[in-house]
Amino acid sequence: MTQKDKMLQMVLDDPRLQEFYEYTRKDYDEGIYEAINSDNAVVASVAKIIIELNGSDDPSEQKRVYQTIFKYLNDKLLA
Amino acid sequence: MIIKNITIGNFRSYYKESSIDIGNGLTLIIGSNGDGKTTLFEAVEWLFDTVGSLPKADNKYISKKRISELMDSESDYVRVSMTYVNDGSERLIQKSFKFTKSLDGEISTSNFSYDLYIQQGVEKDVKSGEAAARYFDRDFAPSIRKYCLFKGEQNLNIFNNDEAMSYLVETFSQIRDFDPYLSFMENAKAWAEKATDNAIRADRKNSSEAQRLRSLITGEERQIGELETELQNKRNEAINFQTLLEDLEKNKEASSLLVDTNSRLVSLKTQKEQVQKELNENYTFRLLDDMWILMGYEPIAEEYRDLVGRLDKEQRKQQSKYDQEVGAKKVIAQINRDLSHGHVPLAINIPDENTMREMLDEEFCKICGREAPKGSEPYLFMQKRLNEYLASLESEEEKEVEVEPLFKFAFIKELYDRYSILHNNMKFLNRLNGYIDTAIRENLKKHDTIDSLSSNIEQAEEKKKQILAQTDGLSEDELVSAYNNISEWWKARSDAERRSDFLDAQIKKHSDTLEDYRTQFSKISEDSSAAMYSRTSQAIRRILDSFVSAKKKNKREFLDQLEEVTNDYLALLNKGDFRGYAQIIEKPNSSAEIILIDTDGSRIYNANTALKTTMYMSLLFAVAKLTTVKHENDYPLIFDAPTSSFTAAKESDFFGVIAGINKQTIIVTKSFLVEDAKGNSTLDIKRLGEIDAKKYRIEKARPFDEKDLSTIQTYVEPI
Repeated sequence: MTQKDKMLQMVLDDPRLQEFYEYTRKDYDEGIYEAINSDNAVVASVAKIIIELNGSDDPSEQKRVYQTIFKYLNDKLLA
Repeated sequence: MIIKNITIGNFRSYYKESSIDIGNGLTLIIGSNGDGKTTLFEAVEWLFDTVGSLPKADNKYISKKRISELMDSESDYVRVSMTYVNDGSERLIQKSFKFTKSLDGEISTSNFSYDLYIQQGVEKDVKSGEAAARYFDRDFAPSIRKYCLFKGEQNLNIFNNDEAMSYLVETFSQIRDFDPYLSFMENAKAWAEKATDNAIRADRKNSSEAQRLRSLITGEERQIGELETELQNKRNEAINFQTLLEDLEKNKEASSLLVDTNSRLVSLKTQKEQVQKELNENYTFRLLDDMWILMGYEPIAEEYRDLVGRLDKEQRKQQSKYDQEVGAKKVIAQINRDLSHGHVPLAINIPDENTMREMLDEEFCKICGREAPKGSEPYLFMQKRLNEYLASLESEEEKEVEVEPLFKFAFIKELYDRYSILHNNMKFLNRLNGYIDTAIRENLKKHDTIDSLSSNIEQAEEKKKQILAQTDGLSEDELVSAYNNISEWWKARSDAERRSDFLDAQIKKHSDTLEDYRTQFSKISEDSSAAMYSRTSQAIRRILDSFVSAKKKNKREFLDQLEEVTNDYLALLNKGDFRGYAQIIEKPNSSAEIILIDTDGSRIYNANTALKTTMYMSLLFAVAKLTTVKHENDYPLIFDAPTSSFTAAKESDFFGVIAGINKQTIIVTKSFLVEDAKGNSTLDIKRLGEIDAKKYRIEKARPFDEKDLSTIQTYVEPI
């Protein structure tokens, strides 16, 4: 299991997030690339954030990832 | 990283060159006081020092013996080097400087160098100065070196200051990996909220409601922030008073009375917790879960039985009457059928079928002798008669009179069945009063026990305060004053803890309200872009909260793992002498403490130094083990005299265990030295032989004059 997989699982493990967005963490045991294709917009967003930001603290990179996630969530949460 | 060799030249008492090959497991370097143990340790520290600006030549490092031998204008080098293997390749790090004796006998230093030689196949790459420092730091990070070198028994506690735990966790767990994500999520939350606010401002229809909710949200957020600040202060306050009380306890560690009182307190509190757990006062749930609601049901059941009985009787009465009526109908029907079988002349079959058909064909009634054209009354009459006759042929068989049942459903039976079930359970229902009475009595009894335990706890705490206040030589007034102080600290700690609990509850309450406002906010103008942004903003905020809680969880998991491995080593190093365990306590101010807990669950304040040393060393071994696993890179542990307080037997066991741990450990010690009849230190070869380690003896060359450093020279000999 990679560090990114571990981070994803720790974030998705939050019971409040699971309750709000109706998913079960155990469904994403296989790893981050399974989560990124999830139908659940929030699960996929967490995976996208971890993969796309890739630990960068560069402000322009942060803005780029934010725009991707903001647009993705707007589209998906509306559906 | 595995150290292969350490070579020291002209470094203080290490005259000319001394070389020590280091084993992969335990290496023991044994020397008496003043033989150069600490100098060896400091030589390694000097070599490892890459912090700050190079060079670092210093006259204090130069061997006085070597200086005394130098001729005018003659030079030599102070040199400390270490050969080690990292990432499969052998490297040599060396720090050195030249020293020269001038004509007037002054010593000057020059040519400071710091070099790293990297063996690459047959080639040797050399890095010098800052580059060497950078490469060495990469091989052996300064953050890890902090947990590698330990001088003396008193410096083993790595949680010795408030920042220590944060540093340890940040260095060895993956907690830092979260930082860029948390910073990103904080920014994302702010950007998303700004986008939402802008969209709401543009949505004129809902802007006033949105503004109202936004103001409520801001108010709740501010209130939660203030409560959290106060909570943090109160928690720190509780810790401060707790620390004051603990310090007092440490001073009284020899008091058996205090030990007894502490043990009594632990036992009383455990009992109280146990009884509190056993209390079952969820009477509302028990009304349904344990069917207590049926408590007064017996008279209702009897009334029910009477009613069902009456209903049954009435039904049977009606059924009987109905049956009689149906029976009469059947008799009449039978008579009718009998009559229809020819007892009445000229019935339906006269005239016969052929005659009837003939008359109909000819449209003439031969019975009454008149014309019967189609459609006329006589024609229709004849036709009806024929049809009746034909129909009568089809119903030759006797037909049962169709009887509709009076009661279509078996409700009365069902009611009886229910009564029967009720009757079977009646025994249980009759006993319910008893059960409820017993349950309530038991709970009341438990409350009495809790009250009595609370009172005993209060008394034991009072006694503890008195013990803590007692100090030799205090006058009665001073004793009263000390007692009052302690009582105040005690009260202040309890008040701070109570206030913290209250604030915790308040924060939870406000957080729920805040969540409610945020949900309302996301629902205004549902189909507008403002609502869409609001939903997204809410999701981003929740994801941020999950990252924050993941980071906290990661930290606790690391500490739990550290505690578990520490206890594995603690059990090994104490070989069954100690059956308690070590616990890492995380304090609200982010600091930590490692403490010893006895088998009965009480904290040990008066642990002997040897036990504390094994605890601290276990923690160091645990840190090293976890680091090896997480960084996929091992590193050595180097101790200078870590076991001063150990008995000889304890030392043998201790070194024996460390030799068995698969970990490169270098210990510089005066263990295994015994005094002979003349007062000289000699090695206890028998005891030493039992330890599986690389062993060296360091010793001052004799004769020497303790007051003249130029006569001091340390020899290193393998044992």
